[in-house]
Amino acid sequence: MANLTVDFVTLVLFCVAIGYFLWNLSKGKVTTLRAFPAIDAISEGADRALETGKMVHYEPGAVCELSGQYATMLLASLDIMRHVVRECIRKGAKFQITTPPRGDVVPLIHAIVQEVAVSEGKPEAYVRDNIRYYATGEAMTTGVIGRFYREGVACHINIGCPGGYELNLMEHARYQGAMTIGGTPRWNIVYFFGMVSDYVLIGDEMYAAAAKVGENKFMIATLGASDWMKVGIIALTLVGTILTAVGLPFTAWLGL
Amino acid sequence: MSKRVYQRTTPLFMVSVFAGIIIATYFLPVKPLQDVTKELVQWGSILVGWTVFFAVVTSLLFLARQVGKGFKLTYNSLLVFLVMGILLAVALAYPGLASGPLYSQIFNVVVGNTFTAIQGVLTFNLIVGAYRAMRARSIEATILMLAGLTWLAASVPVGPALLPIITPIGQFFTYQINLAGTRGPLIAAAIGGIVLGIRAIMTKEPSVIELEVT
Repeated sequence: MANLTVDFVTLVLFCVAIGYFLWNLSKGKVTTLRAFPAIDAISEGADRALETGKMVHYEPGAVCELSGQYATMLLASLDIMRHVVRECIRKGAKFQITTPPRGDVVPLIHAIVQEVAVSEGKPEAYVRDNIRYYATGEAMTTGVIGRFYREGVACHINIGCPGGYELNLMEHARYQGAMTIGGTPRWNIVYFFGMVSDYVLIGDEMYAAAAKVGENKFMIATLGASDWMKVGIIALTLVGTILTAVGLPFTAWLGL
Repeated sequence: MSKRVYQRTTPLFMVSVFAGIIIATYFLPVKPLQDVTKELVQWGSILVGWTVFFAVVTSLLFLARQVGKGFKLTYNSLLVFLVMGILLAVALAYPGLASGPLYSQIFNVVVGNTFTAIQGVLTFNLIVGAYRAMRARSIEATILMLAGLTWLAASVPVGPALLPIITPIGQFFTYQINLAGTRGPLIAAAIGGIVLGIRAIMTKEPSVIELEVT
């Protein structure tokens, strides 16, 4: 039961922190976020696509799904995808989206693109064929690389929850001379994104970037809560290290 | 009725209620709540399965409509139908359907090995990416290069044989510095994920359909 107590207290603290920042927001205290080079680069990517006549390619990632630990990554990725599609439609740049190999995500992506096209006053920009689905990560790898070589790519963006396949896409986009933008909270993938991408969103930067491009004050305000919790965890780590070093059963107190 | 009501408001309200029930079950595992949660999870699986089935039917219809629209589209569509027909015939010809011996063999030998080959390409791209990243063009890249080479030298047999101290140094990079460096972003990402999850449960996450579209 001790484990659940800690979990419950943590959840309540999260909710209280979010509530506090929302209360601040209602008082007119607006949180601002710093600029993200990777997000600024999306606009450059659209410009590059326009100049070269090649496409901007967006891919949320091969392991994205609407449940489990990857659901939040997918939702954040879709926020950024909305921004990418908007930039491309406004500038008249070609774009293609490769959906995750999950059938339940496909209609969501179609709806977002359709919605952005309509809201930008260019419903014709929603072209069904620009949104591609592959049933597996392997099929996606070969299919997308083939498209890169056949149709060309000016900017390849992979922000979300990628697997190992995405390294292949990044590299082949680079061989085509494309800008590459990566981002993921998946720590085992962010390594190679750091190596091969021109711009990268590291870890939870992706969540912050998603809130920023959404231009939604509610979303941005809730990020303050996550920063508070990070400070709390850092403090807990320091205290725990000291207490454990002097021989006190700190982890047992937390039920760990 | 506005489409917004059934496209966004109602589903999001349902998600909030269901998520609340599942969270309550986690903290208060009593039988009535567990039963409701089990039922909800089963319905989730059914809906996802149905969506996938719907997607398959839609895809097949789409492919069927491509037939006759030029050689390339016709060829691609017929190829898909041909492979599907062969797999169906094999599955139906033996007991066990997709678990049958021949179907499993075809899938493991043809598809499995093809997948492995595609994943194998990753090795070469990883080496090229690592080579590019480890060129000593900045302080960060130089540190990365030194750490990477040290770990490589510690991992190959000839490294410790020539220089025994390389093993503890390599292990120090990996199990102290790298591990700590990994856990920091991991915790931060988990916190970010929790906040986004709470936001989604509160129906304030705009990743889903925001506007009405026709």
